[in-house]
Amino acid sequence: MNDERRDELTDEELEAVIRGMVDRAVAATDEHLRHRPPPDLVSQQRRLSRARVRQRAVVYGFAAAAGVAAVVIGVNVADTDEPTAPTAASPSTTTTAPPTTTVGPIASINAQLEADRAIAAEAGFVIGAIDDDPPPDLVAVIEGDVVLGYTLLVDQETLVGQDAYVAYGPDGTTVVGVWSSDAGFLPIPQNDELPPTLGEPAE
Amino acid sequence: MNELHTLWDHDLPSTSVDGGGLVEFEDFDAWYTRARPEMVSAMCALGTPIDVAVDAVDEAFTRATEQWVQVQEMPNRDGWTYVVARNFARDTMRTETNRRRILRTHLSEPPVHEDPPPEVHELRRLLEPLNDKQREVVVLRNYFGMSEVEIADAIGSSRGTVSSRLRGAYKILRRSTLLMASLIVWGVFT
Repeated sequence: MNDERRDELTDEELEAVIRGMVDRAVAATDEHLRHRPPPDLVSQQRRLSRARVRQRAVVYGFAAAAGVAAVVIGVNVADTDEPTAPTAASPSTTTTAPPTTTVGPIASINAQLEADRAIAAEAGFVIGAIDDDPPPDLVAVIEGDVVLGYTLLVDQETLVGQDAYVAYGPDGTTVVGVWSSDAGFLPIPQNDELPPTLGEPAE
Repeated sequence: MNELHTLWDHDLPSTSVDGGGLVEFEDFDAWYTRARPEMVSAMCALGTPIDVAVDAVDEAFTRATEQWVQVQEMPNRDGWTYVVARNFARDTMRTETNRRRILRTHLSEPPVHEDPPPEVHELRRLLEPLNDKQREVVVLRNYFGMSEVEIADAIGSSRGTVSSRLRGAYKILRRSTLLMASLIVWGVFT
């Protein structure tokens, strides 16, 4: 009896069953992706290098993997082929979309820069610029106005023409903060409550 | 106009500067949010390890952003992205196989891939009796709701071929014991 019924099953009925299974599979995959560890740094760096920071898909994926709501990436509207030297006269790049919802520049080059550099230096920090050697190579992950962590970004070539600044601690390797266009210098919380960072700075 | 808008307009010079670019940017986000898990799940259902699938799908979306001016105009961008991801995954698996073959004397253990969620495994089992080509059209049809014409366009085949593969696949699936179990669970059969 059931065999006959099965043969009479319409394509629509059959697809309804398959799509029910598909819906469950997609929901389970979505959940799996949310709890998946971050991608390995090699593929992460390769992809970001090639696509440059303008591509948001992968960055969003990384952020989702880390369980954070938003990402701020180091990118400047100029995006020229030449390194952008920090100048006090740079156009205002401080107006960003709300950091909880979108992507915007970590650092703006403005008149405040030199003063903040000095403040950071007094605290034992070095604010790195993209044309530093070694370059900062980092993406900050920010939720609201709190920097949750950071990720390895790309090679120096990819960052050329963009303005991204991170602050290193006295050891010269530990990132202790970033330059935020909204809030100026933002320290990265140094405690156990930090969510897993998305990567480690390059050697 | 905020800076994000300016940035995106800069990236996509052919988009309008009066607000259209931002709308399209948001369009990408919505599409990405919906389609990424679907793409990954679909590739897993076809047998791709989930880690490879994730990498391939991310790569495909990256290429979509690089070519967003063209991709956003595509009537079937899911199909395009799927094919890019599928080809990338195939290349990855082929490279892995070749490397293992060449270096087999030096590699003691096979590469470890992640398992997909059990729900995806269930779908894999359902599709197991089908051949690769049948499996692909069933997945495109039921994951992305593509018509036969859209599937044909995506995989570079004719509508007749797609139709034939679907019919053949559904004929096999109607005899599937796994499907039978689902039908009972769904209350179609008793």
